[in-house]
Amino acid sequence: MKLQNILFLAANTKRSHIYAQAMAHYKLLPENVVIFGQSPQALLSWKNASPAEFFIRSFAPKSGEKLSDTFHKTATHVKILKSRGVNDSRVFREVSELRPNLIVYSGYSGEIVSSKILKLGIPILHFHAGLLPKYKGSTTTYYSWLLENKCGVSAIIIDENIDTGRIVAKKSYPVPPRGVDMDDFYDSSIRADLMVKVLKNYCLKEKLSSFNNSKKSENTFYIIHPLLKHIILRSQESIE
Amino acid sequence: MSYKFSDIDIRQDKSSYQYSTYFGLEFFTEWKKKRAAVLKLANVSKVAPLPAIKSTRFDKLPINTQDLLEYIYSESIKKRMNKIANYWAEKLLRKFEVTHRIHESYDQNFRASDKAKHKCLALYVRFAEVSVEIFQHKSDIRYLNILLKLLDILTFEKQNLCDDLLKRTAHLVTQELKFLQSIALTHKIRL
Repeated sequence: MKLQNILFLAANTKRSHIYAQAMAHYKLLPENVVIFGQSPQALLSWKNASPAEFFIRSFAPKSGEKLSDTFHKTATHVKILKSRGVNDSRVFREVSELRPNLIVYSGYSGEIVSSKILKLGIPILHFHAGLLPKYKGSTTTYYSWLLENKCGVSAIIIDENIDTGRIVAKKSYPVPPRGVDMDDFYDSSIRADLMVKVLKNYCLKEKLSSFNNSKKSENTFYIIHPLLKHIILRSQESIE
Repeated sequence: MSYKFSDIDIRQDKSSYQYSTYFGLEFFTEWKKKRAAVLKLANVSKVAPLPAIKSTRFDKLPINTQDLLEYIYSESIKKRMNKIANYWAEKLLRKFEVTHRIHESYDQNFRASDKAKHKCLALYVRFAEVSVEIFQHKSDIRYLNILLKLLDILTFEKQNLCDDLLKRTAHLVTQELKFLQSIALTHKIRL
């Protein structure tokens, strides 16, 4: 299925690779793809799910495929931009010219989309690894795992603040099974799973759902200390 | 491997905790060794009493961080911390998480009055004590997260702590271990 007037705006990251593979797997192909970064065509590798073979529904991301190559088998128009990040003027120019109805965004961690791009008025869909409004901020997958023994993803339309945009969808997920890497693999896979659900829904209804989010910046989480992270990951190792 | 977070000055590197690598059980062993060095240096046989609260007013600009911390501390030891103290604790938490620094004073926009003045170790110890109280009363994991980072700084600076601050840091180290052991047990692991 071709997603007319949808742009996939992707930094060359492992997460973007997994999003792209999910799009290709479910044949939810955006009309345009813009890949940006210092080395936008570089091949990235990540730890696959072995030893436990991991699928999320019927989809199993695989390392060893360039982001641009994932779309080459399809009729998708791919533009590659060498840039420092999403706020680079070349990215802005490209987005301004394409003027899509919706942007599916996968940027660099910690990079905030500038107000210049937001002012274009194009909804920018971001998948946050945490159930909002409770889990705002950084490394919330780990906090949610630590406090509630579950993970979560929220799809939001980015606004000028961090994780306060309109919620489009959210879903809880179990913690990763033993042997499945959290940072490179599981986190991106569950985000990709919700992305597929949202895009399918968007194709059917031609609009996005809406749930309230909290604008308050209190209770924002910050990078989890490695000791807390080690407790969680050690507990994963001890699962029989 | 070594527990590197107290070998480096995290105040100089805002990204020191990003994408930290998993090292398994050995990581806890190495962390305990680093904290044990603080206990050895402090040579405490019993818990040091916490200092009396020096001030509960901070109504002048620029905001004096020591006064602010004393005010938050005086509220944090109560069963229910008031909203004003909670507001300022959040401000300090956010500021520290972003900068890994506590400055001696802040302007009306809560920006450091003098960016070079962030080395007063008494402020780091007091904020760690505040974090312990808030974590204990509210079970807010973000304050435990802060405590661990503050103790990385204080462990790094252990040779520069005066006797009083060293004893209080040693007490904080024992509390840190107790908190982490309790969390680890709920996740069915032993540290």
